[in-house]
Amino acid sequence: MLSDLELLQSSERDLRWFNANSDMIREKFVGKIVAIKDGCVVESAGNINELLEVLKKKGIDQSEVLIEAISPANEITIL
Amino acid sequence: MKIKIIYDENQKLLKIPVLLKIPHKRIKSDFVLDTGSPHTILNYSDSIRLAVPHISKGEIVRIGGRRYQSYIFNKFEIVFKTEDNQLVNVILPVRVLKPSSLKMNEVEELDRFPNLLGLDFLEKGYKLFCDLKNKESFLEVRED
Repeated sequence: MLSDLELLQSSERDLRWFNANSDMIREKFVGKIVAIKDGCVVESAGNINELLEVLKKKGIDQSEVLIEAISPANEITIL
Repeated sequence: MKIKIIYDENQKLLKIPVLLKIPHKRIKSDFVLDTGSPHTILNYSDSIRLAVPHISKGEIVRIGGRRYQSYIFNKFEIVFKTEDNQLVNVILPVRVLKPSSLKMNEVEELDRFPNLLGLDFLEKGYKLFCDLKNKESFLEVRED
């Protein structure tokens, strides 16, 4: 089991990978919710419940993935 | 001690990698720093992943013309990492948003809402330094 520090370090690596590869990820997964682990998209689905179900079936620990929603290129988020 | 903020130049968002913890459970995630939000918001997806109970009603929150019921959860811990690999654990009440109706498009829209680190976090004494042009942004933590 990863320590908190190890899990946080992997969270930071995956977030940086997501930011650096967002154009490529958007091309393949626009409109989806993706699970990222160790610098790759391990699963995707149309909503969070479907995604968690797929991760469970594949035996992927959902606590160790970074989950991001992929919006279209012409959509921006104003908070 | 400094907590590095990552600037997502595509989405134009300031993001911070974190661990989110409740008793006996943790997940890796990230926050968007939002000084326009008075409260810290846990998105619907991460509330499902952590199985945070939606019991204690908070305020009605209006976002983009839609109204959401917020639920407050107090036993919440956010773990940050400093630039020199120290862990900073913060206990902070968070709010989870749920749509006032169960229309599928409203629920799915909440799936896509980010976690927001709001002003209640900064009120705890963290200093925010933000220099986007020179790609240097961080939160400064006082060492006690």
